[in-house]
Amino acid sequence: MILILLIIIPLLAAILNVVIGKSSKKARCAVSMASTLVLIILASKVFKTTIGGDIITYEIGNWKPPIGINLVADSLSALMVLLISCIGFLCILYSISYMRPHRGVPAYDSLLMFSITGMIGTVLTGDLFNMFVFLEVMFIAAYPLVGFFGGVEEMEASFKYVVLSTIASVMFLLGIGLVYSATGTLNMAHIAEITGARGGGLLDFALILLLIGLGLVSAIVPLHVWLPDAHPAAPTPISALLSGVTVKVGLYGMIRIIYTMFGFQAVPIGMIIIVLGVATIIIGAGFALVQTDIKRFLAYSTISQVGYITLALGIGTQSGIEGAVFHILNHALMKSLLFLTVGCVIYKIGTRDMSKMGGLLKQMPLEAAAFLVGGLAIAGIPPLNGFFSKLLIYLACFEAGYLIPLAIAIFVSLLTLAYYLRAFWMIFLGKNNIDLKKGRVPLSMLIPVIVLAIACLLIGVLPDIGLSITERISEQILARWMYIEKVLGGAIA
Amino acid sequence: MEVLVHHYAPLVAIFLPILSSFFIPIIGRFHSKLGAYFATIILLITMGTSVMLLPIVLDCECLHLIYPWAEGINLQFEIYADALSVCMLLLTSFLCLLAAVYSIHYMAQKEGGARYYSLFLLLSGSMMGVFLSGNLLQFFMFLELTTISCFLLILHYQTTAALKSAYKYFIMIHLGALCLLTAIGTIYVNVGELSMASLGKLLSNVNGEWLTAAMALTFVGFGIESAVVPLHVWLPDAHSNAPCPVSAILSGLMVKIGIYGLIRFFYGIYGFPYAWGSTIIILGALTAFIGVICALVQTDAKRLIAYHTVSQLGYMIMAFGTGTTLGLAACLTHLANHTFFKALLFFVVGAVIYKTGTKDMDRLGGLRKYMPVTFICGLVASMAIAGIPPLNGFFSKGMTTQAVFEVSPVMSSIAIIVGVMTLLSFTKLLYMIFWREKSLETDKRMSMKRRIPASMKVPMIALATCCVGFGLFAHQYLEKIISPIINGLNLEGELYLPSIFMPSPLTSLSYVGIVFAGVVWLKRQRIIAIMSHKPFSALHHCFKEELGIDAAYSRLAKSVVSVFERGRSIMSGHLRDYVAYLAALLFVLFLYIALLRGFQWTF
Amino acid sequence: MSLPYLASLALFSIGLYCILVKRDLFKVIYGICLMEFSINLFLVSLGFVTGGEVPISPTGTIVVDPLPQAMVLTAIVIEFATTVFLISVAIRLFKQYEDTDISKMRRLRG
Repeated sequence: MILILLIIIPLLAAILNVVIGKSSKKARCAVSMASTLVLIILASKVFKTTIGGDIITYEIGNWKPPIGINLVADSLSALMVLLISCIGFLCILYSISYMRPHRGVPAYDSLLMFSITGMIGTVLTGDLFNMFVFLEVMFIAAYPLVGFFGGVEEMEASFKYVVLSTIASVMFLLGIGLVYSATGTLNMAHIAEITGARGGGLLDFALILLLIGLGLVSAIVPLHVWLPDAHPAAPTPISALLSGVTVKVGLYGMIRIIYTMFGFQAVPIGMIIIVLGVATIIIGAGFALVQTDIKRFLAYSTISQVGYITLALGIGTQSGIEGAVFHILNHALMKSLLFLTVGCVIYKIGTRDMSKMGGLLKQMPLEAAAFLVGGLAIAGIPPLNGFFSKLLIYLACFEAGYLIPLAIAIFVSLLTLAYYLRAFWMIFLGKNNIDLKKGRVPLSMLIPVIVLAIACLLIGVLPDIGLSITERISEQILARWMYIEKVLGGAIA
Repeated sequence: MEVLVHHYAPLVAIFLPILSSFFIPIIGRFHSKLGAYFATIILLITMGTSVMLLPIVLDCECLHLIYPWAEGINLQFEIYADALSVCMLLLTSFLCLLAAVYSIHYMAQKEGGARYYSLFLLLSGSMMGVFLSGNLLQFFMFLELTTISCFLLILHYQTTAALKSAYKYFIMIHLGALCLLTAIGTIYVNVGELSMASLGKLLSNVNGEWLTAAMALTFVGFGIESAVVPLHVWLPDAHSNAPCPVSAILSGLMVKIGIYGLIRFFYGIYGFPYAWGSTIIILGALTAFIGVICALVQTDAKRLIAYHTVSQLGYMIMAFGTGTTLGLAACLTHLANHTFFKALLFFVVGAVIYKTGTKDMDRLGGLRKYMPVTFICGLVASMAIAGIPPLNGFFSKGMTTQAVFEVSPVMSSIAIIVGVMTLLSFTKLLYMIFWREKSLETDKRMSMKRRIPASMKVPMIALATCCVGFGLFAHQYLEKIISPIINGLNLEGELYLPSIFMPSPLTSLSYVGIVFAGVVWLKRQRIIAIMSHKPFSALHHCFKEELGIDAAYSRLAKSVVSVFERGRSIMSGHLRDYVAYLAALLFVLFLYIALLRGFQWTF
Repeated sequence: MSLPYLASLALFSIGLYCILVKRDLFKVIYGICLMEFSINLFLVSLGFVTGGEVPISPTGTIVVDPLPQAMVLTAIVIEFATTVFLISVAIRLFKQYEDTDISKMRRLRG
């Protein structure tokens, strides 16, 4: 029951926001905030149950799987839901002040809630086609959010984003069709049971198609092309949500499909994923090094970090998955932190061009500290959270004997440090030659920044918080048969 | 009481400064100097704890405390305190305290005081953490913490030069740290253990390529940290552009972390690789030599001293490379002595800057009349670093030369030559700043400034006393402090201390050096005239440009950036290109699968 | 291979060709639509069984698989939403550039 609530609540909030419309700005905020708060409570409840090794299922309309559509929450899904709702909450809180000049447009709150609905649905569903539908819900809500400001660049970014992700969705749908024709079912657990017995054939191609569909969501090179356009074009809280969580939904889907549905060994896909992951790491980091638009810079950094996660997923060992999941968690925190911090800077000086910034350390010490925390965390410098997840990824590479990807990954983490320090320098240090636009940055924007910075620091100092979670999750991901048994529940012998 | 000290003193030493660093921005709001006093008190307490720990560990008793930390990767928070750690701890807390006192007035007129003291405490706490770490990963983490805080301290003035050097510092040190991390990872993957205490035994009879790789990576990592040529390029920039008290800490302590790490890793964990000994000695000699010739041509006082740090580190590396007990003792003694005189030199230059506002030696002169205390301190420090008896530098340098002589006589002659050049270079420093009659420029500037306050004089005098004291009581020092450290590292052997009057060839050679320097001093006008001729000026230019090493690094960095700059064209902005990438990926992956399955599959 | 599959392959190729080669904003949108239709056609043909009946209270044992049809219906709705959004963006782009040439719309690059 709780699972369907997790989807219905944001959906209701989205619809309610449409109904409220222009009549009350405050009411719209209140609805969004309240619903995400409830989501956080429910998600942590689900998380608490599933982390103990349990899997919660819910059959929609009481139709037993594999015929009916069901919702499944194992610990990975629960973690994702928790992340989505927490970061969603912080972004909504942030939007109150950040979007004040645009408050007249009621669609914003509603679309935000719709995209949260789509994301939560994607990670909770146990049905492949249902996953497609929820992904589309997420996309369709994200398109207008990307083009929200309606300028030329925003429209261009939005158009490219729509075209590319539609093509990817088409691939995904084709993949679903192939899976269906090969197995005769759409239930992921059921597919897993069947592919466990026989692989190959159409399923190989289906896997490739599904991965391309999800690879575009999570911006793996060369499918990353939309991200550096779309993420900067969106309003900053949305960028934080897109970079922090939405790309992770794609990665979640990849984990589900590779590890749960097909089984890592079924198709020799590991090498492909490692190669793509390494390419993603290099291209993201290298291009981030030469950017001057601050949000585009962060977008490229996201791509690079997605590469790390992808690389870890391609290794296929338990420590690899552990590193990947930990990095998903950490990167969600770090990147949202960075986007929200940068949002404060943009709010205050009204430009995204880093070459026009400088010397903000004195005026914005808190933001500078937050940016430094986020940047160093992403660069993998202890005692911040990114260090431990990167360490796990390195160790996983090492243990599996992938020394060249390891060397590249380590070298790029130096590059990561270089570009974050460069950005820090360009924004906060040196001479100040800009007029600050407004007064103080409002508290509702600072609170999310502080919360996320503390979270980054806390996980870094006490890594056991994350490590214990990810260990359980990785165990659960690899225990395929348990998933199948729990979901199908003896419906199929 | 005993138990209390055992259990809590190390934790206090690490976490008191780190945690209180968060309160300084709050405290600093009430009164500008409050932060400074608070930091001083905290460091005083820290020093107290390390003094309390000293008698315990000097009886060759190790403290080994283990706390649960990250069970997920089998990592405990371990504190391992033997004589070496605690002596480093004491040195750190002593110098940090002096630097904090020195900063009270030195940093007073500049803004960002709260940030400065906060980072200062963070730096001292994390250095303590480095020295007390009983676990490789923990060691690494504290090392990175020192790097972050140093980075922020170096860029404190936010001039372009300071920013550039801080950037370079962080990137290069992080490169070293990554090498170290890779080495640690190699050990972890192969042995599954990270505790220093047990690794020594575990690795003692292990052999393998991975161990060699780990050792090489460790050496490179600490080599960058301790500025082994050609990995030293960050040091002169960073040390000369930081605020003076920070330079003192950087030169006095931060680079020593590299030496400490080398000793810990190579003696405590891997076992010393005697096959590499001569290479390490040659690298050390090269470092000492290049450091000193670059120092000779500097006109920026801080940069000159910074190059001498490189040079003196070369001595330590040489002594370390011998692998003998005497060499290790020499390395440790020089490490401590260098901390005293180098910090003192930076304090002296800081006082000069405080008074005149410049560190450019061409614009200075005749200051000995106006700041006699500073001058005397500078004289003591210069004599100490140049190895003039009976100051402390003489003994450690003599020990180093002797230790190297026993292994490789040729290299020991380089050590002596470098000693002579050091003496020359400091003669130049003292002459240009304090001695020569050139006062017009400085007089005008001086009227703007106040007297050197006591808070700056006291640290200088304290350090000068140390320089003299550790020279006069060198025997006792060696017996009481250095021997227990050596014993703690499980090394046995005779320790040799050069006596001023001992008729050894080495000591007499040092006297030749002193005489040579004296001749140069007397004929200085003539030599300056000769030096401005063409072949010498070309050489001069070459040394000033650091023999192109620095330029090579920046070319490398630029080429990396330009590769990506050019690569940006793949993000052309054309939608069709993007769709083509997608289609190409699909095609390639399909082809891959088809080839893999040999075009045979069942529908 | 039967005709519907070939037809959907052809449609797909035409759609891809259209997106890759055509410069006109709206032709790109047509291309997308064609690709979507091709997949829909493919899915529907998957469920087709020769001689099958409507699955609602069938008289015989051979029935058409209803699930792909349900999937296609859902997909059509989604595609409708996407297309509407694409067209609205295209119109705004056209207004701003006064041109429908997509190769000129590349402010975002690098």
